[in-house]
Amino acid sequence: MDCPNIRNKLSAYVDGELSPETKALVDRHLETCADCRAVLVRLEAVESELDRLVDVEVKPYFETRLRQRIADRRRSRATGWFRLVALPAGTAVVMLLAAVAGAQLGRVLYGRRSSSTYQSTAAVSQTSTLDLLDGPGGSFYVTGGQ
Amino acid sequence: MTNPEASPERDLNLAVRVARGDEAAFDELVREYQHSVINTIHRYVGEYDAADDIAQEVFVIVWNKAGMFRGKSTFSTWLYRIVVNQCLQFRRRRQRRPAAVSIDGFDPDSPPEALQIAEDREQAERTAAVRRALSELPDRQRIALILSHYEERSYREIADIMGTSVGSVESLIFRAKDGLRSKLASLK
Repeated sequence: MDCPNIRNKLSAYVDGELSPETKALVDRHLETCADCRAVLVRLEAVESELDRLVDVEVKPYFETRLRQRIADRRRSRATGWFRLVALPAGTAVVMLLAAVAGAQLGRVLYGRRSSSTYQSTAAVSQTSTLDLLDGPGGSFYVTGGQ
Repeated sequence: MTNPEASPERDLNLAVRVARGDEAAFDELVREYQHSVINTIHRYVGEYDAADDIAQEVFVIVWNKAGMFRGKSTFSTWLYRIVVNQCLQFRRRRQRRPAAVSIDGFDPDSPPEALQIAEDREQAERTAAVRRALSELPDRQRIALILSHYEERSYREIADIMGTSVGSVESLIFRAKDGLRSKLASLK
């Protein structure tokens, strides 16, 4: 392996991640290459610099806040579902029912009015007939359709 | 920082229970991983409040998506894929506005532990410089380095988490450390 390839392995070498064969290869190279040895020393120095960043503590009430967040999310998802699906679907169903009920009502009312019109026409016809038959000469007033 | 009680089998069992809606199992997983998750995220984003928020989001995803965990990898690997994805998403959102890490490397949102522990100002400045140098690394290098150095993950695990090869991880971590070295050398 040449220097660039060896250097790519140096971090794994420091971290003990190399197979015994590859480690032996890197060891042999380091014995003869001062430049790669210098890189190795610098990498080891970086390790100790990284150790300066100590752990932070978990923020207080992490679990309580998490439970709250999950509950809020569930609620908003339910609300979202209601708003996006249930509400429009419900509105559509109500409108459909209203339309059907309206149609039924219209049919009933129209049917009733039709029959009463028929009945009144029949009555008028009858009256007219009567008038025509029985009226004292002014039967045309009665049947004039006013 | 791994919990000594944690084991892949135990985690798998807990995750299966979480998928069934078992809140007690979820609480156990949260307690087991919250410290390492929040520290990984904090080292990546450099902001304490943001790290807390992202960590919360990570566990919300765990709760909602536990049913998708099939046990093909360890739970820990699956969890850290979520962590990495959330970190990258945060990064993408933040690219639209300036980073919160100020010009002198002091993060106003960070808790003061680092500064309290540091013996003197020079040490504190050096710590801030390391934090800033870390935050300036390319995303994948930074993630690989954090998982390796602080989480003590093997290169194989990191490759699984990041969806790449062990060779790529070797290269990412080497370049990350080399990049840090040159950034920190310029401060000496």
